[in-house]
Amino acid sequence: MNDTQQLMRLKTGLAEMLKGGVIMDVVNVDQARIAEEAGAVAVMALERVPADIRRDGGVARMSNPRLIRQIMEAVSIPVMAKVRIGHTAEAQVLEALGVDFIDESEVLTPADPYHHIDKLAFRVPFVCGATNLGEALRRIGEGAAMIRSKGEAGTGNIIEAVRHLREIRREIRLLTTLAADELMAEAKRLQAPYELVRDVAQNGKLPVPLFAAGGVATPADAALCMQLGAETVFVGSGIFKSDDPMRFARAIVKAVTFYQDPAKVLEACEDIEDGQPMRGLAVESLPAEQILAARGW
Amino acid sequence: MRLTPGERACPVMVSTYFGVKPRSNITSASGFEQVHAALGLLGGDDAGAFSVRVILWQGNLQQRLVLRLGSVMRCSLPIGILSFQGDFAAHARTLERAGLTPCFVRRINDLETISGLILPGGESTTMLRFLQVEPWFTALRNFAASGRPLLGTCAGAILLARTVTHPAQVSLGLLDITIRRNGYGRQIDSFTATSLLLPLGTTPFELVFIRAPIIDSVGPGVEILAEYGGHPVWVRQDRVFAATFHPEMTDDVRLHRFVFGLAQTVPEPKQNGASV
Repeated sequence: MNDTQQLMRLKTGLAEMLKGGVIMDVVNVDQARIAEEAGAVAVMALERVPADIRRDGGVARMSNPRLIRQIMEAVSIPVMAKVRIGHTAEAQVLEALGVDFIDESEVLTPADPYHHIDKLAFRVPFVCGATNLGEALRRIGEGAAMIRSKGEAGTGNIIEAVRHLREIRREIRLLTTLAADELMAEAKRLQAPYELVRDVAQNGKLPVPLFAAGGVATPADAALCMQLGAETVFVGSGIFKSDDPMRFARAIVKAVTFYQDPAKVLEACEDIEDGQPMRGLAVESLPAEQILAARGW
Repeated sequence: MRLTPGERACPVMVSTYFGVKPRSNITSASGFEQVHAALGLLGGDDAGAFSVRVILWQGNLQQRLVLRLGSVMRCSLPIGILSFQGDFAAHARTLERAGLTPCFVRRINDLETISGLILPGGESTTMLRFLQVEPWFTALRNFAASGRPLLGTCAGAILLARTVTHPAQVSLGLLDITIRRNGYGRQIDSFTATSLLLPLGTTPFELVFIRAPIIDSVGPGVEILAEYGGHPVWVRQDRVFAATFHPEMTDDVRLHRFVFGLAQTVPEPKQNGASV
């Protein structure tokens, strides 16, 4: 095993450790502590949750490193942070800061209209969003150690995450039915690296973990994502935009672990008692320029 | 005594080695030595089956036989993996490659039908949330007391420890060690190394440390099976094993075999069970 492969194993290794869990967006130390207490496997440190970024408009950038550092010091679980698509310098800053995972995220305003970050050049692992298999494999080709659905962040509406998970899994299943001499043409159609296409065809899964993100607001949403093949769930606005974050956080953690057990998911739903989830948005009502999933390629 | 080699004979032998109430008609000393010798053989390579010589007594009848363990493993109870969260799927793949049968444990009742248990890597704080809402602590302590082997890797090692630092948190206390969370630092300090693990033979083992803990001290009852960088990285106390690295992140099955290979036919023999 060469150095690149060794490093990739460390990166995907951390992603493996996060499986079967919930990664929660937090905007301050208090929220980070609530998330850890509720059983989050990691937190995403940022200045505003996606719902607020969506509401505020303007340019959304990497968060202030000072805030991220405070959160790193406050919790013992891994801390992730977001950079703009293609913003290599922001990523270098976060690596120097020592965050555990970087999300090259469409939730922030893209910095590069043509290129994503060369993630192989970093020691810190990256997660990237994808809407289909070709996009997932392009990001993996660049060095992403984890793929998540893009979903439609900040809407509290699960439909786009479901669309992306279903699309990725459907395309994976189709690949496994193809003959060896059909894979190059399929790689061309997917616009994805041939070696990765061949790997997926052989193994029937991505070479890195597949997580769900974008629009998760309830325990049942999280269980649905897991049933569609996600291995962990990111919850952005869904916890701290609900009216009872601790209860929602605990309930979603429970629903992810027991996603195959409807009685346990029911328990999770009942644990919320009278809590109300975040108010959702109909994706069809969003103007095209507010569709975050269309950012990146 | 009808003695057919293989499946029916093994529980006796294994329970002897692992100290599960050696049955009166079996000499524990001979069983221990014989099986321990077989473990040494395991380390050489990971070829499927190997043989072990055992001596069984019933009344004044003495029977010597050679068991082929490859055939024993197939008929036995699975190894459980605590699967609230973490890399339980990676452990399942490793067990399967080792010729053992994995099963995922999420309910206390699941502990009754397994012959050994893995506490996997992941986030120990998250796993604790699940362990604390139901009487898991009692159940796992009883499990250990039943003599079935336990293996904790990374977060699992933290859960098994007597004392956890940086920060302090509650733990099962099944292994008399003091362990420091994220001992090497953050993810950018994660690393791989290659080292000889003497109990596993002469082929070096790849050690994958991911946000790994450090074992700062061990009690008198704890055997250090391997060290790296001046710290114990693989330890045991009776049948409770802990590694701070991730054997399940490699293709190497020797460590899992070492811990569980012979154990899979435990649990405790039934009191009225026919002796072989």
